[in-house]
Amino acid sequence: MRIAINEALCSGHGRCYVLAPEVYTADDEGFVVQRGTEFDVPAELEEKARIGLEACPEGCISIVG
Amino acid sequence: MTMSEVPTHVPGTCPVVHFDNSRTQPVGGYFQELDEMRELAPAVWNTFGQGFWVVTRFDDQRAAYQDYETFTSESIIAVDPNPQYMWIPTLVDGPDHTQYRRLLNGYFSPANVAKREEQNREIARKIIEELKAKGSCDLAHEFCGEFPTRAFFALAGFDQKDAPRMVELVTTIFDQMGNPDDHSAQAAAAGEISEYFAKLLEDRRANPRDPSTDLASHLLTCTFNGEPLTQETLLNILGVIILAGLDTMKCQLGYSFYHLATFPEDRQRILDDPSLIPSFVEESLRYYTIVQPARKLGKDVEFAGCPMKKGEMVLLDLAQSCRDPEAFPEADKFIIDRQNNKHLAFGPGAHRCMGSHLARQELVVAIEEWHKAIPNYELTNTEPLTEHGGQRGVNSIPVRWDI
Repeated sequence: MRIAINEALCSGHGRCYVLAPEVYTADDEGFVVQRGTEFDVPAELEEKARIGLEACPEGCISIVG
Repeated sequence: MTMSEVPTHVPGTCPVVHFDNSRTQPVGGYFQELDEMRELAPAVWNTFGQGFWVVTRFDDQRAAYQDYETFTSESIIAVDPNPQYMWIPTLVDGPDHTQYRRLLNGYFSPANVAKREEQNREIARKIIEELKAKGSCDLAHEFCGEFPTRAFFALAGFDQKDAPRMVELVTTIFDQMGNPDDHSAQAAAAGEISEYFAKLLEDRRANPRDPSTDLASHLLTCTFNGEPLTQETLLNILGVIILAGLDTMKCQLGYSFYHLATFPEDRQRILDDPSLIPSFVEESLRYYTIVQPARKLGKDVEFAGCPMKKGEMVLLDLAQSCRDPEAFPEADKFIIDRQNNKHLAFGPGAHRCMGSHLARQELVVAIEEWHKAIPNYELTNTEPLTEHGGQRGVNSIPVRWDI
C-alpha cells in the first residue's frame, strides 16, 4: 500500500498519528511529518494506515497504490 | 426577534428558514432543528438578523472551510458581517494567517500539551475532592466551568486569582453573540479583557518568565515579518485565545457530563472499561457539537445549489456536518466506540481550533478523574434540562451522590 498526504489540506488535527503512531508521526507544531509526501506502508501496518486515513477530518490522506 | 426580508436573488429552489439561535430550549432542541434543516436542503437562507446562508452538509461545509478565498474569515459570526474589531489569527486568512499560527502552534502542540497532563489531573482532583464532600453540585458550572478555566490559566501562566472575573467577561461576550441588535456589553467586556492583558504584558516585559510555560512571555519573543509583535497584536492574540479557550470547554464538557448523567447505561460502560473514554470523548464532540462559525463570501459563487453573493454571510454550523448521515452511519445514535470518527467538531481548514489538542486532553482527564472519585451520581432536576444558543451549552446539570 502506498499513501499520499496532501500538504495543503493537512491542518494538524492529529488524529492520524494519535490513532496510528506506527504509520504517522507528529512534528513540533502538531502537523503530520509526512504531509506533502508519498510513502509505502508495509503489509502488517496497512490496517493501521487505514484507521488514520479514515479518521482524518480533512480527508487529506489517500491510498495511491 | 429580528427578522429580515428575503433578498430577491434567493431563488425558490433554496428554502427559506427563520432560525433563531438566541433561545433557551430543552437540551437537544437545537440539534434536532439543525438536523431538520440539513434534511431540508444543502443550503438554505435564514432570515434571522440581517439574513445569511446556511450550508448544512458535511462535504459542502468541509469544502467551504478549506476554500478561504471564497469563504473568508473577515467575519466569523453570522449576524455580524462587518465586525468593528480584529481577532488575530481568527479573522486573518492566507499567508499572514499561516505565519501567525506558526508562532502559536508549538505552544498548543500535542507534545507541549502532553507535558501538562499530570498538572491537569491534579487540578481536576483538587476540584473534585472539594465538591465530593458536598454530596451534590451543578456539574455545568462547578466542574465543567471550573476545571478547564483553571487548566487553561495554568497552561498560559496566568494568575489563578483572576480566573473568575475573566470567565464573567468571556461569558458576557458569548451571551451577546446570538444577538444581532446590541453589541455594547460585548464591547465593554472586550475592553476590560484588553486592559487586563496590557497590565500582564507590562509585568512580563519587566520580569520575563519561561517562554515554554508562560504564554505572554512566549509572545514577547515572537516576530512577524521580522519585527516583534506590536502591543496591539499582542493584546489581540491574548484576548482571542482567552475567548476561544474558556466557554468552549465549559460547553463541550457540559454536554459530555449531561450525556453521562442522563444515560446511566453509557456511564456504566466507561466505568467498566475506562479505555473507552477517549472514543467516548470523540463521539461526544461529534454528537454534541457546540461551535457554529460563519464565513463571509469573498466572491460570488454558486454553492450547494444556491447563488451566493460577495459580502453575504454563510453559517457553517459544525453540528450539521457532524450529524450528517451521509458522512456517519447511524449519525443520530450516540455510539461510544464509533470507528472512523472523522468529525469536524474542531473545524476543518486552516483555522482548525488551535486548542484542540489541549481540549481533547482536558476532556479525557476530566471524565477519568471525576469517575474515579464519584462513579455514581444522579440528576436532581425537576424541570427538563435546558440548553442555550449563542455558543451552545447546557445551562445547568444538578446532580447528587452518596457521601
